[in-house]
Amino acid sequence: MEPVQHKSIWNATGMAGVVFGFVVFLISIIGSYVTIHSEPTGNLLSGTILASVIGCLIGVFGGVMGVKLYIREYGPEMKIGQGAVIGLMTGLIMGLISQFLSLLWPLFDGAFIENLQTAMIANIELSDQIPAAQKEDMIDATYAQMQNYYSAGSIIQGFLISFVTYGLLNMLSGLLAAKFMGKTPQAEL
Amino acid sequence: MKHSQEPIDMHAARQRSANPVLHPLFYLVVLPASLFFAFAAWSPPLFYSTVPEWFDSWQKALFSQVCHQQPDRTLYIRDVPLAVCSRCTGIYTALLAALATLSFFFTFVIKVKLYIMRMFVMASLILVLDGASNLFQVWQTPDFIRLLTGAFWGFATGALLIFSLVVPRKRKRGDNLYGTCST
Repeated sequence: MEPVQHKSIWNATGMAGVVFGFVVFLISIIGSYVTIHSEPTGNLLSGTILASVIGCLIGVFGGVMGVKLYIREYGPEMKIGQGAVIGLMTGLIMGLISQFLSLLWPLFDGAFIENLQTAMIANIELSDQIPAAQKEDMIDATYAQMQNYYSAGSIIQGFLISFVTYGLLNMLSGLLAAKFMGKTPQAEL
Repeated sequence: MKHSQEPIDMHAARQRSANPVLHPLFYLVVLPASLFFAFAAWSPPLFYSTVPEWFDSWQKALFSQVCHQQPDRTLYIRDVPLAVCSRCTGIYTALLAALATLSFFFTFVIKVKLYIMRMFVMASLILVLDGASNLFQVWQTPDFIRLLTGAFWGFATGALLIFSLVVPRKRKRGDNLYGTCST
């Protein structure tokens, strides 16, 4: 009698999650330094925002990589639901890693938060997209956000948003990857 | 009398006979998530009345990692911007619309899968081309065009998701593969 092979998703999701989590963090931190070292132009589309959007676009492929690694390990037979779970877990690990590294980074560069805050506020001050009367409130909100970088609420919110966005997006990409790269097992028919 | 002895391909026969259905993931996760994101995208004008309130809102924070949310590239309702840019507004709205409507016609969707793939590739190319051109200031498209390009991509993605979530239904034990036979 052949032993039943237990197919664990953790190798694939762990590897894809860690790799993409690191990549997303790297893109985000590069974007932040671009904002810090650029002259303020008044354009609210700063390097930080652009980097997070690019990071997210790249991060979506984490679910695909998770499914690919799983297929490499166990072969192409997988259900669509398995692809979705692999994508979801990859997204959650990715969110965890990128948020954790974002929290660690200011410990290496002590002036990071202050420099980023100064650059963001300078951009809002020069912006012509916001009515003058509302600028002060936005500057106050930005200041409060940066000052609360290490508050429990801010940390929890950061993790939650990462889990929701990366988790759901990678769930969808994992699902699509399972459909196009995997093979439906006989049992599902 | 000579009988033909063709081997019966049980797997192919089973595939032919199984009724396609939408995977439960569609009803449990994909549709509710899409409804939530569309609501979150459109909801700031319901809850806030000024731009600073919007700036500090959970809706803006939620989409901060997936959209640039520039105030000058966002649709306004009652002087309050939506949570995402005009292109993303189109994406989330059309995605929900596509999922909601095409879920009733999924048997048709699987018949036109090739067209859906082509539509998705074309929509992605348009989205990337227009997005990059706007970003690098090659040209600037008005909000309405951005909304349309986003809506096209959202609809194509919705159709692709519907196609991906159609699975042959599991056969119950005891079901006769070739129908009932009475003597």
